Amino acid sequence: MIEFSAVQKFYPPKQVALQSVDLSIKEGEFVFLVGASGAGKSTLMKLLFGAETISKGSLKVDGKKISSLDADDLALLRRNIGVVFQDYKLLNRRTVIENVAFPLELRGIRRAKMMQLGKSILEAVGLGERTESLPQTLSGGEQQRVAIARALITKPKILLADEPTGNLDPAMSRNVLELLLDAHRCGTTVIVATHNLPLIEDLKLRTIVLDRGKIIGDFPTAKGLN
Amino acid sequence: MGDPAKVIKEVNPNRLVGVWQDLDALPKRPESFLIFHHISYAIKGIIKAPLTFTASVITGFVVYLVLTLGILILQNIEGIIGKQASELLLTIYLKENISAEKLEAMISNIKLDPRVEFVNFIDKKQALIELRSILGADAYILSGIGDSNPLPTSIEIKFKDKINLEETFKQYELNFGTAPETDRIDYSKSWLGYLAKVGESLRRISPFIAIISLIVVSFVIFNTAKLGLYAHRQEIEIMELLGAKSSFIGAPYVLEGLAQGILSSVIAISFAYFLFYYASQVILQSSLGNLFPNPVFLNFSNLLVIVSIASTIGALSSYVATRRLSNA
Repeated sequence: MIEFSAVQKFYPPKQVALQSVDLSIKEGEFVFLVGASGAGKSTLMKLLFGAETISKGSLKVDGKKISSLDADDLALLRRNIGVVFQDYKLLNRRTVIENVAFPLELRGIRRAKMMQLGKSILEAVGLGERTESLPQTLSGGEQQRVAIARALITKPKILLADEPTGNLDPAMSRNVLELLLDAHRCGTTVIVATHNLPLIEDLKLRTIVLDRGKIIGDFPTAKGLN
Repeated sequence: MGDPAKVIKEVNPNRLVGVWQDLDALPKRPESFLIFHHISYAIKGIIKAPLTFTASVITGFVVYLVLTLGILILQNIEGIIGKQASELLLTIYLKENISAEKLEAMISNIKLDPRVEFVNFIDKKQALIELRSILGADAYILSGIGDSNPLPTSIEIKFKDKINLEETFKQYELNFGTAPETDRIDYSKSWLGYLAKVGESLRRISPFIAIISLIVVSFVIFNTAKLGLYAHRQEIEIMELLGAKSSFIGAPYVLEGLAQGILSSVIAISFAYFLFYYASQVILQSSLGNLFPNPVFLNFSNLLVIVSIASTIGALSSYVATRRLSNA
């Protein structure tokens, strides 16, 4: 499903974000990316949906070489990838439900059905009462849940979540994690970048540790990594 | 965020399965309906950012008002030149001894020319009456000539509008100037030459003025569109990251640009019409009225061209600005 081969990423003038990353993630896997700030977790995630381009090496996602996709093909690939951005990236001129339904809008789903599904997924993340609010009127945690709902609504093949629990209290974090696990159980490949080791250490799920742009460990569980 | 216990109660992860059920079988909007979707978002965009839209309409209004007035002035100058030229007459002065048959043949021959609007024969007696009328109070000076009349008979010819008068006058000079019946031929060579030169210069300069105006208009409108879209650059970036194609992102902005172009040009034309109407009243009541006897506003096809140019520039500017921002 995802193949990194000797992938390097540099930022001018001399900043090295990723150094020769080799990584393979199978379809339907659930993977945690852990590491300190600046370890390269976010860069690695951004490469997966073409928000950043690789400097060297090769990256295949869903069988497609990212660097050789044109703008329209990249757009089509992105529609199969749900992304929870660290900074949420909500559309400020649209209501919460319009934000969540946007990926369905891109697929040409009729408005009434779009709104019905949007409401359902917002209820699943505990925001059923805020459908008509504008994003800027929500708290950080609520915005994060809107971003999660938007990433999940289309049953994406791949779900990328960059610090999805960063602004949530422990109870809500646990519930969001349950939601991501639910997606995984339905067959979605899930990759989660997180600092929150206590949240994940009880789960027996693949955990990749990054440090200064390198993979320094690939474990079957996060237990004991602290 | 509220009470965590309450939030936990609200959250139901199992709902995900319910949401995803039949996702692939959902009814899709027909492709032809996409335009209504874009129109709806264009209207929403205008409603949600009325100041940006108003600012771009005002900029467009100023630009298209200048353009409309420029075209209006050029058109009326050409009209004045045409009018002045069409007032010019060619006069063939005849010799004393011309026979009635030859005179008749000459006038018939001239009348056969399709370029001729009218032919007027002036005999010696009529010429003297006209001279007295022109001299007015000074006509007493003609008393010195007694009963004799030194004025020649003549034929005045007026040509139809929109022909090459200078060329036609030269042809007549060549054809009739050497005829035995002709004494001499007279027309306002220098005035005609001047009018022809001004007209020719205007025709030569007009395309350059039009091109330069279009470049300036496009530049101003493009930068206005770019500034307006710059406020939405994050929105454009987010849509791209979520998988929207550039055509999907750009379409509502292109429609906004189209609406902006149509609205600003229609307002500019309406304002230009009122300016023209009041300026015409003032000019016609002043001494300039003789020079501008018949001011003309732009015809429907010219107005349509201005609105089409404005809407095209508006739409294209938004398209290019969206592309530039989305590729940034």
